[in-house]
Amino acid sequence: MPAAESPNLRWLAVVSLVETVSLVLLLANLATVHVPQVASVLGPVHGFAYLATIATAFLLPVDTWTRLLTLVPAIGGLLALSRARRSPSDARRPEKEWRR
Amino acid sequence: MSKLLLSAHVLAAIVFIGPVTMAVSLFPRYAGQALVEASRRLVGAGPAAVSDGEAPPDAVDGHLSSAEPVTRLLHRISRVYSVLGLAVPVLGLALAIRMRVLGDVWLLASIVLTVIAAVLLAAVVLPAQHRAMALLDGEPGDGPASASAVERWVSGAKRLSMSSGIFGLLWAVVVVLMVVRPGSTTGS
Repeated sequence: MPAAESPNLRWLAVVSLVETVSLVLLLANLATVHVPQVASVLGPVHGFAYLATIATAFLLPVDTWTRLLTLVPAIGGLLALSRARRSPSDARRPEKEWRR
Repeated sequence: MSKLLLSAHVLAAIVFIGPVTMAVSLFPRYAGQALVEASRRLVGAGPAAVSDGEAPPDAVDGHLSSAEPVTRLLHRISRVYSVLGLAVPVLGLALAIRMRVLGDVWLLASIVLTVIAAVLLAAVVLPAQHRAMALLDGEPGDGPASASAVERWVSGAKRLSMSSGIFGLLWAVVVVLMVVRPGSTTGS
């Protein structure tokens, strides 16, 4: 994570990472040992991270396409994050900076 | 595992949904007060002019405390805890699938009410809060809080209070459904 990361995008970065990593772990579990307890714990974690990514994007001052990207399963959050970092969107403009 | 999920579900509901319910119900009052303070500062009348008008709810020993920091905190709680609160339906869904009660009427009714509450929060309550915060921060260029915009928000504050109240009521109904589980044969 770059040091100049906007505090807004940091939240999106965290939940997006959880979204993707939890799914990878879920699939890894399914493909290898397949412990049902692991699925029981990671399933809700992934579900929460997916919804939290969407909600975070809709609460942040980013453009509509970035928000819609979060709807993509598994990697939507990371896609949205890279788009938000690339484009000089509202999230970077200080006057639109949300109070934390 | 079901017990763990159930504990997490109930804990998340208490810790995350509780503060949101409280924050959204208090927000209209404090935001209205903060906006009125801000617009009076703008026209030159200091806080002293406020105290001989209607008594502000926060006046303690004749001292007028600014409602603005409280308003910001309430808005922050509303936003952050709303997102965290998503854990509650997710855990609930996982639990329902595990306990094979997903098709039960009481659960379907709860899900419908939860969705209504979520839409109310995301589409009505949070945008109205956002508008109030934008007025407090001042749109870039035209100074903090133009008087007519403030008036418009304050006159709409009753509707926001009502939406917040309905939001709380929906959760109360969902909790009752979760406890009573009408028509359910599992547990008491």
